[in-house]
Amino acid sequence: MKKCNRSSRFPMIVTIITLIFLYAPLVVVSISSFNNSKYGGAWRGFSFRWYEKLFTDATIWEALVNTLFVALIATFFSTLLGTLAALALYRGKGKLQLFHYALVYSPLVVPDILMGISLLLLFVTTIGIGAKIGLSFELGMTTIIIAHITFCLSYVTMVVLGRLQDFDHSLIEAAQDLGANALQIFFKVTLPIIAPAIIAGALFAFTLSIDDFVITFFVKGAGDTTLPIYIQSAMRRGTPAVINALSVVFLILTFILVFTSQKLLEKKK
Amino acid sequence: MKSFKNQFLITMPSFLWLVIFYALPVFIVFLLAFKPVDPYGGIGGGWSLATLRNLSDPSYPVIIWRTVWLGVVSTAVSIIIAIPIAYHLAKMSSRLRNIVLMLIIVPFWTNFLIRIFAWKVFLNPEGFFRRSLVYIGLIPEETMLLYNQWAVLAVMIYTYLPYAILPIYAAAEKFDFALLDAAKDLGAGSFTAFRKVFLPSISKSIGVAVMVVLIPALGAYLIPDLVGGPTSEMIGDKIAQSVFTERNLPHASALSAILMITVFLPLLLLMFFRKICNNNGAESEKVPRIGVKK
Amino acid sequence: MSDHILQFKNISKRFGSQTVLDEVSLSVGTGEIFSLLGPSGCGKTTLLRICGGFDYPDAGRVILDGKDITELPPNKREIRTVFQNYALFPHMTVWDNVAFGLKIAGVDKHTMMREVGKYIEMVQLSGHEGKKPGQLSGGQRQRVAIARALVNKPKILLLDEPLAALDLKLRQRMLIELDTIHDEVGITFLFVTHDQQEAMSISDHIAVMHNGNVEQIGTPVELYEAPKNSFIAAFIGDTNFFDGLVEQEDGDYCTLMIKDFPALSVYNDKKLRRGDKVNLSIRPEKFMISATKPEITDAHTNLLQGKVEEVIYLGAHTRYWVRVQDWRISVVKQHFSYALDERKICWGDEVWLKFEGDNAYMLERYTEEDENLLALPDV
Repeated sequence: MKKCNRSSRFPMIVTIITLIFLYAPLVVVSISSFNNSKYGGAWRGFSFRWYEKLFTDATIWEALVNTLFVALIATFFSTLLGTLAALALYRGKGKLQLFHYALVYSPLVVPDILMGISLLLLFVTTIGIGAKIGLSFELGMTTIIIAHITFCLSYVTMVVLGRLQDFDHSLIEAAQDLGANALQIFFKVTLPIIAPAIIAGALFAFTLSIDDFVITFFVKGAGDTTLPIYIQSAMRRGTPAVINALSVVFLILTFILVFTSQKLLEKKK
Repeated sequence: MKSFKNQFLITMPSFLWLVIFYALPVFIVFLLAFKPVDPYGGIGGGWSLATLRNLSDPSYPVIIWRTVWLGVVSTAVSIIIAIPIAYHLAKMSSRLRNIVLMLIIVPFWTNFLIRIFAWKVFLNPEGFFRRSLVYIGLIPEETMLLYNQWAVLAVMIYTYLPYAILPIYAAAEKFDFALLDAAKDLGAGSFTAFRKVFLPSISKSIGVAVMVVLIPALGAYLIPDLVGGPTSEMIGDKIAQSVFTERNLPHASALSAILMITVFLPLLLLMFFRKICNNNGAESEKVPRIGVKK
Repeated sequence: MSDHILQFKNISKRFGSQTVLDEVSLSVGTGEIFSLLGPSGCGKTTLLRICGGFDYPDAGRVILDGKDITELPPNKREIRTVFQNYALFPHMTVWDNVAFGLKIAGVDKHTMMREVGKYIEMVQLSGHEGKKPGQLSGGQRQRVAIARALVNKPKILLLDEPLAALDLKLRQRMLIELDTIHDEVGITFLFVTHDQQEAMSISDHIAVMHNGNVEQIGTPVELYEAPKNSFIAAFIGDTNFFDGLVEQEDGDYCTLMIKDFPALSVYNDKKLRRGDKVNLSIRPEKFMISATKPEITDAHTNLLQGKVEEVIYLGAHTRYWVRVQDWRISVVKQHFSYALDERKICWGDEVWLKFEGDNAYMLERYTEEDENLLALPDV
């Protein structure tokens, strides 16, 4: 079963080079995070000082709390709305659902910046109208959360809809056949079967929300800081060493997350 | 008609949400392009074509061209790299494959800003990488790796490569590699077999990959902003500048409208060609189906 | 009130421009195994779905035990279905799957434990209660589906191609088991299949369907020995068709002229007259094949002479293809004695084919469409 002829080497070489390409910057960041130097560059000796700074920096902690706050609320609502949308799209036919599908699908293909600016313009216009009739309303956490729900919704819908499309419709008929009514079918059959997809969709929404910079940047109020906003503002001033440490923490967390989710998936198979 | 009522009830929440927070804003983008700007950075009353006239600034064609160029090149490179990787992944033993897949996914799931930050550190003028290149004489002492178009291109490819690999891999995994042996058995060389048998069977996924890479690439804003210089601005940067620096929202919406058209044009073209292909295919597949109700 | 538990009355159903069922009427006897048999697309599955309540007819009524159930939703019918792919709930254990119907019906815990246990035992799945459908084999899933459908004690059990997903050996075993279960529970089974052997071996009555119509309803023997038309004759078992002309009536018999054959004497149950065109069906096993010319004593015994073109030895019997002028005749010979001792008839041998006039069956001429169906290879 040896398939190692000359021709099959090329893809392997590309794969290896790509992996180096993917990891070289991350490795350099990881090494730099232990560098005593303040602005990266030359090696000034091993140190944990950036990690110490990271865990004592109040701004970072505040940004982290904001990020999680936004992510949790956005995840909850986008999962709820997205799951309902998936159910509607799965069962529904006709013009309304076609339009509904276009509404759900097209945010997926719109670049972040367009989503950001269009929501900003909506909020600004609303604030303008509100001011005229004496209602005051400002950019802030609420607008960030609304924006996050909007862009997460479509992803949740697609994940759940994907699962529903594999869903064997005869299961619903079987439940009907055994005497169950619509509500019983939903709670005893449909929901348990699509629950993993709903959880996957929620995790996806959570990750996207934590990751988002561009849209948040457009719709946030003056003082609001999430973690990505913090990193970006720090980066504008160069490559502050504390971000190296933050990157390493993020990398480790991602590794653990991806690894466990893979293990979980493997077990299921 | 109870089921119709239920159907309507579960459709409405997401439907209304997206109409208000997605369709309406997109509409406003196009609308505001025809509004004048007021001196305080808000939106003036009445209607104006001033914004559109401002777009005739000679710097814009250059920026639009650069946006398209960077978008297309980063897409093309990502896909050219992704195909052999997908092929290799599909042929690997499942143990090794899981590891390599995980290695590809991890950077993909890492925070976007952190990935860009890593590149800033990597290409840092004082950094290990540039100094090594200078030391072995590959680049002259004064060459900067950061703040130019090449840095933007590298980071864009870095960011979007996993988007290209995953759909192509998903298709390659389903490919029956015995077909390649069959082609070789019939006298095709390895590369011919790859080109005539493997590529056509994953062509659909390549289309998907083009879409998922090209669209965000065209709308890139952070990457040119953080690792590019003034000569590598894209439309995204201009939009952000008009919002945050110039405080000219009508101008930003005019630019956004242009970007939106640039993004949706290839998408519509792709859908159009898909439809033609599907129609041609469907003709031959018209089999009468009886007793099967969807 | 009647011995027919289920009646379909003039059921019609169209999907778009396609007529799937065309005024179908049939009655299923209480407690029997009734099969709907037909090639794919004949409308049998649609009829079953209408019975289960998953589709509604455009016209016609469905009567269950004297009550009109045409408009009732599936969950209000005393009918249960074993689905083609079983449709077991993947997130529930075997026990939960079987208990589902009882839970919905709100049966008390004690009865539920007893009933579920009883049916799981009946389908021989004791010990597997805690497993999920994904951990079961095809045959075991099939049993769960049957137990799940039976536990509510429906008036009728619908089985939609229940054996299609199983391999040949398992299919035969399940067929016997289905029969045993049927005897045990005494519920009416309505069985849909495209496999005539399945239908023949298990059914009390079979309705053969074709193009949305019921072609014939009868017991397996009736269908095989007295098919109503050429389609049935061809669809149920193998047969040889010969088109001929009635030359002369002769009491209960008639003389039939078939091209290249000597005049044949055939039983005339349809009272055909001189000049009538007929399609004569002779089943392969009705021929006696011999290498020497047999003695003819009866006036209604016919004899053909031909040459063996092909011999297919199948263990219990041998199939010969015999050429008689332009005809190619399929003949089956049972091996009553030890086959190695028999004098073998080989390829190229001149042989005699003898058949009794009582064993041939006259049918109307078949249509071109039937001819296409007949041309299908026998699998």
